[in-house]
Amino acid sequence: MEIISCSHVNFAYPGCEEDVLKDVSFSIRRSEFVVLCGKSGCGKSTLLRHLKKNLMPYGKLEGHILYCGEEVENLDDRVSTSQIGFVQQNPDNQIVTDKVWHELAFGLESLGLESRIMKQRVAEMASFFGIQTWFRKNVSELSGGQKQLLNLASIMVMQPKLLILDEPTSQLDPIAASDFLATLKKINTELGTTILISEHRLEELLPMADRVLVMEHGQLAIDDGPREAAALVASGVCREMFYGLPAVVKIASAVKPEGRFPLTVREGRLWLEECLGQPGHETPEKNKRPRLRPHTVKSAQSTSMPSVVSMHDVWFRYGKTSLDTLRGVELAVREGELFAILGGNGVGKTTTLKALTRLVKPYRGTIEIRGKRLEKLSDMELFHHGLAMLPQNPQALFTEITVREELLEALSDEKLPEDEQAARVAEISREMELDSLLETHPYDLSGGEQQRLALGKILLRQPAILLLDEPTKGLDPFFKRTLADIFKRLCQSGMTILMVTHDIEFCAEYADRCALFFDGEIVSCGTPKEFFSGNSFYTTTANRVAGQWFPDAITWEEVAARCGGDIK
Amino acid sequence: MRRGYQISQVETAHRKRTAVSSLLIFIAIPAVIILGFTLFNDRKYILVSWMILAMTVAPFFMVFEKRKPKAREIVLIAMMCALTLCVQLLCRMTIAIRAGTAIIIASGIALGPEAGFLIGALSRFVLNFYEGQGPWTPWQMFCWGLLGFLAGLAFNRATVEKLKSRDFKVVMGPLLCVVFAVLTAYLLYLLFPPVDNGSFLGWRLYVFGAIGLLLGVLVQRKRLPVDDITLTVFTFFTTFIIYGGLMNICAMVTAASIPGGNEISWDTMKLLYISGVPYDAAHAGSAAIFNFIFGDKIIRKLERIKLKYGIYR
Amino acid sequence: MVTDAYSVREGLGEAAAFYRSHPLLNFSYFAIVIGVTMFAMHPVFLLSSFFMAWCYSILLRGIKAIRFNCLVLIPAILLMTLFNTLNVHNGVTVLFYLNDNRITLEAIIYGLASAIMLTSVIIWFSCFSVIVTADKFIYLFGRAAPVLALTLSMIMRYIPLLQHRFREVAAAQRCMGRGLKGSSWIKRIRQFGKEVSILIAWSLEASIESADSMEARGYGLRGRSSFHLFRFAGGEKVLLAAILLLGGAVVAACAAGSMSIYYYPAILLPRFTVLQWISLAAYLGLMSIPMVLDMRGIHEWKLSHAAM
Repeated sequence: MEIISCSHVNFAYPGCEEDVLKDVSFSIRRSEFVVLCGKSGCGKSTLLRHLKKNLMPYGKLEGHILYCGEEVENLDDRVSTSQIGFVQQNPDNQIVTDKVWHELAFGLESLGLESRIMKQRVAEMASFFGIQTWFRKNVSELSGGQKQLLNLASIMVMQPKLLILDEPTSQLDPIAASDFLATLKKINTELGTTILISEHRLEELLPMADRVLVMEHGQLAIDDGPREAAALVASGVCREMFYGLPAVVKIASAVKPEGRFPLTVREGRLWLEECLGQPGHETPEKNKRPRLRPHTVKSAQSTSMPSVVSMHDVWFRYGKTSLDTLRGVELAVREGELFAILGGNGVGKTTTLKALTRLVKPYRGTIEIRGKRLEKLSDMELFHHGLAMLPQNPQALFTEITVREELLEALSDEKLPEDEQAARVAEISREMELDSLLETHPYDLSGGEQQRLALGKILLRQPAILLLDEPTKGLDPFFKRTLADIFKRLCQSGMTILMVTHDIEFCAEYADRCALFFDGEIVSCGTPKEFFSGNSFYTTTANRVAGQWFPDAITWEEVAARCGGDIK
Repeated sequence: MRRGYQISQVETAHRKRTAVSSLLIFIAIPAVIILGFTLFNDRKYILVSWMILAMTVAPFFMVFEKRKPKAREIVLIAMMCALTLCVQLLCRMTIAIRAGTAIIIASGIALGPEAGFLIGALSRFVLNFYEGQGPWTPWQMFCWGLLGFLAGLAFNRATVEKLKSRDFKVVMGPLLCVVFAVLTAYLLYLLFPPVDNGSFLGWRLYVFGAIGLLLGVLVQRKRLPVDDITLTVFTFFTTFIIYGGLMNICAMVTAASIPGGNEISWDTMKLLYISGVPYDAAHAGSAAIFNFIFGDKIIRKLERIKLKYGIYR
Repeated sequence: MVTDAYSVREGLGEAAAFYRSHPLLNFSYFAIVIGVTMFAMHPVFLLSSFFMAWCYSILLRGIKAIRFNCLVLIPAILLMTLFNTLNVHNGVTVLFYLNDNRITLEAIIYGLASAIMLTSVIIWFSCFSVIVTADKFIYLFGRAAPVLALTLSMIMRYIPLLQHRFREVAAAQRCMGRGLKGSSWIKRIRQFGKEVSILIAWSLEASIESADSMEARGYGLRGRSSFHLFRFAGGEKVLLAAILLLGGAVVAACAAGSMSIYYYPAILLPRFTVLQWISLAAYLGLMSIPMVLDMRGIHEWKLSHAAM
């Protein structure tokens, strides 16, 4: 029995010529796990919102969207509320009450259940999700992953038959994201709930999915099983989607475009074994791998490049009696490089950035920016054509009502003649590909465009050193490439970029040097090749798949090339 | 329209509120005053004042409750309350200005008298969980609510589009009235020096200011346009005269556990008003400055959200 | 010795037994106690309320309460007494003349009495603030006004969120070299206002998603109910009965005039009859309920830990 069936759905927003959805037809059977993917702005969210009655966007709709044989638009409110769950992107914005238990009960309160039944359902759901330990907490004390889990649980407590998720993990770090997806899988297999999820992070989702829908420019381009869909994408349907595929699939498609594609690392290894035979006994051992240089500072000194940012034995703690957050950080970033700091949550990465921007003051150690002691620099010297930081949320910078004014605002405290201001704004907007959006409201931009606007605003301050906090968070794979190109260009023009990120794949491909932050200090540092090939867990998927054969191949292109594949 | 905001719903709510309010104002409140003054002889002021405040505040909450506001409306009101609160708390830590009052006025203008009142009263209520609940809570709730309410009534939201065009003529009427009233007060003070040789900067400022404000509103038939000068003037006068004036009464009523008779409380009041002037002036002044610089920005942001939400249209 | 359960410096705070009681108990207790305090102007009742308020506030808030009570309230009492003395010239017992104004004993005593009444009310309110948190108000409104309760709950949820966002905004602005420190007052207001305006825009835009999430979870359906975790167990019922019973007795005694007193023109203290002794006992009993609960709690804790 089909739980959702769409036939020939067309939709246009009011005042827009072009349809956002063009002749979309598909159906979902009960208890299926369906993944919807596509480039940002291809109409994924619009499509998903059409499946939930009270979230349907305004506009001109043609065609039929049926839930269990009934038009979604005409569904009874109560049925629509309890049977169709909807989880959105941002964990913070979806939570409306102040206590975890109240949030869990919100939906049940709406349905007007009795207190006794509510208590039972809430208890049941809290146990299923492992929420019981933080059941009585304030929601503000939760981590991002916990918040999103709470959002999911507060919907599951209504026992929906269909669960729709719109990029639920885009704001989470990789570990929280895997936990979240694992919970989804559990819901699907143990409770039989139908799941429709839109995502960019396909690495983990593809193996879970029963079916994959790929959208392109408002049309449904692919509707097939995960392996078949991967094969179709690899063969050139929806070319843009290719960069979003898991590394294993990309390697396989380059090496052996025909045949069954592997989806997980395990399958990838077996597949490689088939292609290349058992890995040789002599190759994989550690002594053969390039050794990491133990000390960053030494390696910086050993080259002739001067270091632009250097930290030496920096210690910091937040409270007088709390544990140290930074424990003797040693860091040296050279001019014109893209330096990435990787590491888990709460190890002190962001605190390092804060120490550099003087938001926190270390109690021991020295920090030098372009050869000068940080504490001796005035704010003017430090931030004027010196340091600049792109905050994690670009919204933290937006105050004006158009993109143009927003960019001009960045120049507001520099005494420049108006025509020069205009010229610089024009230049930066061209560089950030924002020319066509100059009169748009910053909040009407998409996530990627907002990121570019924030970056543009920061760059107008003409910094020599750019600090980035999770710049790839929530971005689709296509836009990540654009961003990487921008970074490369900036580095070539002499800017130094120091970024803090969870995104291993991005670093492997684009960073000049990477460092692993752990327990308040930098434990290893080197070029991506040195860095990742030395790790066996904390490394790229491609390296995990092929590490036994080619320990120093870290991106999928390298692995594919070594296997003799051809990269388009 | 699928999820539009039903105008009729708001209108019915308005009518209901007016009905309930007038019932309360004309019947219940006098009754309470009479009863209170006969029943609780000594403690009458504080209790009667609480009851009256409760009766003025209640209709707003009752109507809000009864008309089952849309999710977007509740979110907007809760968010504005939280913003007011945070700003007020932040101000206390960083710079000594009362931006909270300014934000209440701005949200009253953008969202209308109803929402203005609710936002004002609720944020004060919650703020007192941080700053301490006390006998003054109902007064402060009422004062902030009233500021939001008046702002919503006085300003013409239709002209928000032409935010920048300053029109001195429009604001001139009320402004002149207030200035004129205060001047008259000063002349009277000079011509007929009061027996007690009290300072001019006392109750006269508030009472004549209030008379001036009332006259100004009567003179001013059209609603005020939203431009920065009008906004500043409005913020200053309402904060100074209404908030300051009322809170002084609150201080007196709370302490009018000290009454021995009418003439005594009158003395107390005069004293309170004199001591209140610098404080009220600083409060009103900083709120007015804040609104001069940022009032229109905040209102624009609220207007945009209203459009995006599709409410209050 | 400072026990695990209670330290004099910090006070009990949220560890208080009464804090964990059902909100109905909290509200009825404070309503009766504060109400009676305002009406009972008889010196014995006034002083007992004053004393109990001091005890309870110190138990709850520790050294902070002592500091506040001594540094703020005692000077206030003196000031108010002085004020009344200088302004009120009623009363028959003239002590002396000051600038041709009579200074009377009655005015001094009445001033002192009302000052003590007012400060007791304020101290009781400070205890109220510790015991009755916003979620208890939310529970209280939950039945009668679910929308209001929800709005309150949302406000409480947004405050920490907005504070966090503001820190982020301020940090971002600082990294553009725009700080609050070391500039003129007007520049600081400008900068602060800019940060506030960024915060407002960000939060308002983000709140659309909140509204969607509410609607997705059925907000607006008819017949909304309200969930809470408070339990009204047997012991609590007994306590509520005790509060109401004692409170009723005290209020009745108060209404019957056994706690009133005339200060002007001459102080007329009604004779202390058996009835008044009983109502005083009831009053003291009522006021000590939370303290007794706390003592029991501390004792139980000690016992159970001593046994281990």
